[in-house]
Amino acid sequence: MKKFSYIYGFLILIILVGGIFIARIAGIWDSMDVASKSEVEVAQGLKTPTGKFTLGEIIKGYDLNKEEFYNAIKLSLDYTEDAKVIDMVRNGEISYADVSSYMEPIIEAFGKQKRH
Amino acid sequence: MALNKKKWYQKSRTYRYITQGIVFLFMLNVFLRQILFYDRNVEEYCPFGGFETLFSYITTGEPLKHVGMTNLIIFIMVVIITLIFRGGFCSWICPLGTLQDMIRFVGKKMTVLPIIKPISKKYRNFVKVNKKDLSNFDHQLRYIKYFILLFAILGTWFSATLLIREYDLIIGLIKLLTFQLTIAFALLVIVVILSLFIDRPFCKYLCLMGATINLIGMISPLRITRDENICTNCDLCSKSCPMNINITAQKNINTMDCTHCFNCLDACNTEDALVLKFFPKDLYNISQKTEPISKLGSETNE
Repeated sequence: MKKFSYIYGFLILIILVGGIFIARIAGIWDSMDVASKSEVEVAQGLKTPTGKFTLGEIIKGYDLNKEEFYNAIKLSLDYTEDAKVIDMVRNGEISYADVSSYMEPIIEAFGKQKRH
Repeated sequence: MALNKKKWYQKSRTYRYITQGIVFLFMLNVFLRQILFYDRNVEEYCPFGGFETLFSYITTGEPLKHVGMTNLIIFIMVVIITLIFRGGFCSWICPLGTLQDMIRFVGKKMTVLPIIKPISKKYRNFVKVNKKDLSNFDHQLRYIKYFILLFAILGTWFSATLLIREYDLIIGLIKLLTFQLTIAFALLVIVVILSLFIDRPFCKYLCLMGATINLIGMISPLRITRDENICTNCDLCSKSCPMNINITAQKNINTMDCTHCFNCLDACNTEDALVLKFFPKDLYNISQKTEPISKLGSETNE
């Protein structure tokens, strides 16, 4: 058992990683019973922390008021909905802090609605 | 029979540092990608976050959208690992534990600095003089995490939201990067400062995943056992224990706080005095003396 203490951690790591892979292969990973994949992706994107998704997808995914959303992130109303949030943050057109502070309570409430 | 000093490849900690390093670098990569490229999420890898996902799955039939099933699967795997290997996740895998170990290493090296040396000496004298009281205080503080765990479970169930998420240290760090100062960040700073002087303060007093692992780990059949006929009671094992467990007072190390770091196995100079065993005799006998020793910082340098 002396040598067991040497490989102890590696065994734990193998079981941990192995379990994740098995879950993926078995399809448990993708068994998210949600309304639409895009809704999931929008939520995932917004929490990571900003989306790889367009303004339009976010508005639609969370039933947002476009004017309110655009005002919150300090964007003019005639700005196209096809722009990706992540690109806009990188270009400095909008601030991630504005997006996050507006969207976090909405995402939390969205999660709660689904539970009740 | 005394052994010669062990070489680096004969010490369990060498292999522990390797696994800790692998996991820490992986999580560092996830963290950096989250803050720089926004295409990863550290919350996906938090096993205690799996509890929130489990709650969401039970009540709505859906996991949390922003993490999917990832952290729930990790949570389940950690439970399985704990049932077999007891508290090994804490010592060998957890990146927060690794961070505390690294800070503690720096803290020990700092004691040789001219400014720090006299303060360190006064601190050691203080601990020596108040050994019994500090031991009791430390012992009582360990129960805090179990109360917080109970609060977190009940609070989450009745409020439908993970109450302690706002106090998560990593969340606090991430929010700081968006210029939000939170209680979580203040807590992180306190943990970092304490880690300079105390081994694994977060693990001992506040970690909810650690509390969960401690409780589940009691079922595990794996134990470090001490042969009373061979043991010389030199106490090197107890002094090397980062969780301040009084090893020489026990036959099987049943103390819940044991994270199987195996510092005691490395420190022991007597062959077969301390061994790792599955299903040792008196496995679940918890009537042994288990109060921790009052050492608020390792006396031996690793």
